[in-house]
Parts: sequence; C-alpha cells; structure tokens
Amino acid sequence: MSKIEWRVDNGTHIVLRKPPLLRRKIELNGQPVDGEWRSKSFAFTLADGRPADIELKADLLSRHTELRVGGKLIPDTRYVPEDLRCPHCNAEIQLIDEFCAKCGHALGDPDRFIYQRSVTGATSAIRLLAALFAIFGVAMFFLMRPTTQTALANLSRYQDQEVLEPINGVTYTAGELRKRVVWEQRGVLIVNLILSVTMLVLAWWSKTKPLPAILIATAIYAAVQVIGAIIDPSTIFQGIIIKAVIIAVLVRGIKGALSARTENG
Amino acid sequence: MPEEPAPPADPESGNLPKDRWVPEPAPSTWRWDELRVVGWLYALLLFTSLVGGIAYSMDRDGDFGFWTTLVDAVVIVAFAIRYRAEIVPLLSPSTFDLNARKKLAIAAAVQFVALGAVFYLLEMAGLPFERITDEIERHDYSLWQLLALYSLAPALFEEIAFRGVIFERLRRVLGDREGWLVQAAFFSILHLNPVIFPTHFAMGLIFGWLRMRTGSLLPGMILHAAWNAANIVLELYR
Repeated sequence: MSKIEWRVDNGTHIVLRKPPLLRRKIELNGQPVDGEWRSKSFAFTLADGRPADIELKADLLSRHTELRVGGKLIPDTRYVPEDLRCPHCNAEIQLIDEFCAKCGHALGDPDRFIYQRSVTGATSAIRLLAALFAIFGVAMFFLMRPTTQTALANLSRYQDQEVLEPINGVTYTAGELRKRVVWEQRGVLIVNLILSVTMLVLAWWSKTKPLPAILIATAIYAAVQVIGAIIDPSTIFQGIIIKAVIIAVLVRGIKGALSARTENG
Repeated sequence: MPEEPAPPADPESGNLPKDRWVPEPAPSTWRWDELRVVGWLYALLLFTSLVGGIAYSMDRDGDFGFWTTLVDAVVIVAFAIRYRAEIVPLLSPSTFDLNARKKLAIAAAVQFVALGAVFYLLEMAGLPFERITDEIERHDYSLWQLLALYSLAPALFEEIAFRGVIFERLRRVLGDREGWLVQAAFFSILHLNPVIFPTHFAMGLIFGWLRMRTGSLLPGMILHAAWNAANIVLELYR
C-alpha cells in the first residue's frame, strides 16, 4: 500500500492511501473524505472552509501527487522537516505560515521545500560528476601508460628536428610528435581534473547561488558529452538513459532554483 | 538590478483594446522563458560544433571550419533579428564614444599582458595548441581569408551571441554580476577545450565587462578580433 501524508498545519493532516487493486482513499484528520476523482483530480473542502485539491501528475523522472490548499502547493511530509522552525528566530512555525508569528520574518510559500529538494538533487548530481571526472581521469592516465611508452619508444630513433610522414594530413617533426604523445596521456588527466575541480567549485557555490551554479554545471556536462562524441561518435548513445537522467535532474534543479529565487525576489 | 518587464496595459484605462489585453505572466514563467532562449541558442551552437567536429574527424581535408562558422553565423543572426530591439542599439557607432575607447584601452592592456603571459607559460610547459598553419596547408587559405574566418567572424558573431542575446537574457534573470559570470562561463565552455576553460573564462569576463561598462558590443568585438588576429599573425611570422 502506498501512502502520502501532508501536514498543512497543526489542525490539518491529510493522507492519501492507495491499497493494491483498490481505489485511492483520502483521509482528513483520520476521517475518510467523501468525493469523486475527476480526471486524476480530487477536490474537497477543509474543516475551516479552505478549498483543497489533490492531483496526480507525471513527468520525465517520476509520477507525483500534488496537494493544493487555497491555490498553494503543499509539499508532503517527505519534503518537510518534522520540527519546522523559523530560520530567523527559531520559533516553531506551521508549513502554511507566510510570516513567522513571533518575529514577522517572511517565510515564503510552502512549496519552497519542493524547490529545495530539486536544488539539493542537482547539487548531489554535480558532486557525483566531480567524483566521476576525477576517477575517470586517473584511471585513463594509468590505462594509457603502456600505449604512450610504446609510442615514445618508436619515436626514440628520430632526432627532434626530423620531419615525419603526415598523420591525418598534418606534418609533425619528431620533437613535436613526442610532445603530443606525452600530452595526450597527461591531457586526459589534466582535463578531467580541471572538470572535477570546476564541478566541486560549482557544488560549493550552489549552496549560496544555486541557479548560476547549476546552469554552468549543465552547460559543462552537455559540452563534455559533445567533446566525447566528437572524439568517438559511438559514445553518443552509450549510457544514454543515465545521461538523460543527469540532464533531467540538472534541469529540474534549474527550475527549482529559479522558482526559489523568484519567491525570494 | 535587472529590469522587470513593463507592467501590462490596463484594459480599463483604454491603453489597449480589451481583446488584446493579456495578463502579465508570473515572474517564474517569464524568467524560465528567458532561460529557455539561452538554452536553445547554446544547444544549437553546441550541435553545430558536434556535427562539424564529427565531420572533421572523419575527413580531415574537408572545409568544415568554414561551414561550421557559416551555420553558427546564420543561427546567431536569426536570434539577433528576433531580439533586434535590444541588439541594434548595442551596435550603433555612437556607442563607441570616448568612454568606450578608454575602457577598450584598459581591457586590451589587461588581456594582452596578463592572458598573453598565461598562454606563453602554457606553451613553454609544452601544451600543444591547434596550429592555424595546418589550415593553410590543408585549404590553401590566404592571410585575409584566415583573418576573416578566425578573427573577424568569431569576434562579430560570438560577441552578438554571448554579450548580446545570452548576456541580456541572463542579466534579466540573474542580475548583472551573476549574468556576467555565467555568460563568460558559457563562452569558455563552448570552445570545447577544458584546458583553456580558465583563460577563455577570463576573456569572457573582459568582453562582458566592456559590454557592461560601455553599453556597446563594438569595443568587445574590436578586442576579440584583435586578440584572434594577433594569435594568427604571431604563429605565422615569429
């Protein structure tokens, strides 16, 4: 049985239950709510007369259920900390409160917790990418070592200034080609470490400025896929589902950060 | 602070006929729309680089540098026409006044001295850069063709794209400072070479600073073209 709970305020606890093979049931403060589902939407009224509406939605990443009370999107209990406190004076607050009753601090709409979750997801993805770039760079550096040493051994019989046969239409001296061979191995390590450090900086920056940080991280991730595809076109479709999920998590993070920013002005 | 869009005309005041009045979109909606424009332009430029890059890796003798530049130019001009109301004033010769010339001189000094030194050190460290002379050997380009393709065209179109269309959208959503940083990051990332991300990020910041301080794209275009031309001439004649 799946169950979703919303604690709108101290006197309003809503539960949506979906028993296997049975219809969805809605409870308000422990009592079943009468009503009918219309096109994946269930409208009802709270005890104090506020209109409420539960809607079933789906996007690329997941199916989710939204509750709106008086037009405001209410996050379910998975998103909201149990002990909800004012970030300014630490007094106890309700999810639906727009302002702190004690200090008057503006709290924003309840859906801020959903946006925070999207931003946290995107930040985690950025940290994961930082780790993957570092691991890939170090692994490739050691895997390329034998090939590099063989190429350098083959080139050792030429003097630095000797001009070699053209490679892909480009003519190199032995010295230039030696430099390129050495840099090919070092380059993979350096490039991936630069990407890893950049992603770590962006993950750190996203704590204070999530929107620009996630925008840049998304742009880098897309560009890295293109660079990989130019080097080896077969990589375009390798792990395409994982790539799509990472892009979707980052785009959701952008939307979340944008919504949170709009609310905060 | 970014400028908020003008409030919609009040149908009651008679500014617009009632049937043409539309409610103002929510802030998150128009901000998302602005970011989508940035996303589309970025994605299209990335896509032309992808197609051009794959074609080049399959046929090293093909003239894909020219075709990629041409397609990029068409895409950027299309966006510039769509947003002509904000791009055309940035290209007006009257914006290249004394203030713009002073700022250009400062930016040119910083770029040529500081970034010149960084590139010199990278080369001394043995970092292999793409050689423009390889293009001459492959396609028999003249110096003027090289300058048009690798100095003038990128300066013109990249400035319109990054400091024009993209920067304008980003500043509305993010504000001046963050918009400035993000456009510079996009500029460096789209060069598709992580080794030069930091140096091109710095260049993007300099061109963006010129755009912000002068209200013109012309100083950035001049500095961008001069930097690219200096690199070509240095490689050819040193």
